[in-house]
Amino acid sequence: MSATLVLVVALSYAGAQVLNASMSGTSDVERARHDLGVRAELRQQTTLQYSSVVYLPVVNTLTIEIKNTGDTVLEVPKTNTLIDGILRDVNVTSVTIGGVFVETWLPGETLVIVVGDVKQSPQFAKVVASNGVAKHWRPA
Amino acid sequence: MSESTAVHLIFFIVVTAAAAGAATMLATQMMEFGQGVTERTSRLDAMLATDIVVINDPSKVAVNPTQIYVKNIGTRTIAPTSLTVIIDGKYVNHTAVLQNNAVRWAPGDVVRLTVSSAEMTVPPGDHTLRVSTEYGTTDIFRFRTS
Repeated sequence: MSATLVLVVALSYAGAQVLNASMSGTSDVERARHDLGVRAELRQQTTLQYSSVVYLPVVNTLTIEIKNTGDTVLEVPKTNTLIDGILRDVNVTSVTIGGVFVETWLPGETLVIVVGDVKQSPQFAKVVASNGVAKHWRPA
Repeated sequence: MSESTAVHLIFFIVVTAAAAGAATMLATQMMEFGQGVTERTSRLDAMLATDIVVINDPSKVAVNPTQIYVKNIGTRTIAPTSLTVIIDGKYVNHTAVLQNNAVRWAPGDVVRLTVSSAEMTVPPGDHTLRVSTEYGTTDIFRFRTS
């Protein structure tokens, strides 16, 4: 009788530990899987379109106007700019929407990125949104 | 009568001790199993929350030294030094530098990986780059050099 009691108590405790670990882990993984699906969906809903790309050789600047044509809200500080294959974030002198510095880039808004220290007319540019969606540009 | 009681007592002690031993062993095994489940789900959770993308232009990758830009598009901070870089099937050593010399590779940030020319010279042609995080999340990037 007492032996049975010892077995039941010990196995009940261990079983509860296993059950708790399994349920907690499953919940975390389900949440992570859901987040992964949401991120993929948001990327699918993200599209960008260049309005204009203008190089001013006198001041060595490239001004890129690019519109958020998708349905996703993007983060301005996490936007990256490549010119002729080189990441030029450190040379970006201003990033504005409607002449104002903002943190978020809403659908329908046009982001104006001014990159300094551009020595020659670029043959390629690429803007990468905060979620990794990118748009290439080449001169016509 | 007293002999019978002694036998019962010995039998009781032996059975109880055996049951306690068996219970301890089973409980230990089950708790180790539970711990294993926790660790495995934790790794899976980290893997699902980690995502990266190579943002180079496939036709304009700077070579010799090769410069690779990798963006963190997941929801977790990643250790940039934990990245594995394989070019054309060959593992290459590299240095990782975060933008603005940051110490945390936060979501949305870009890390610049530099492969020294001594480590690997990328000849003209088509190449395949594979970048993996410590959790196994991988981005495969094909590019052309001229």
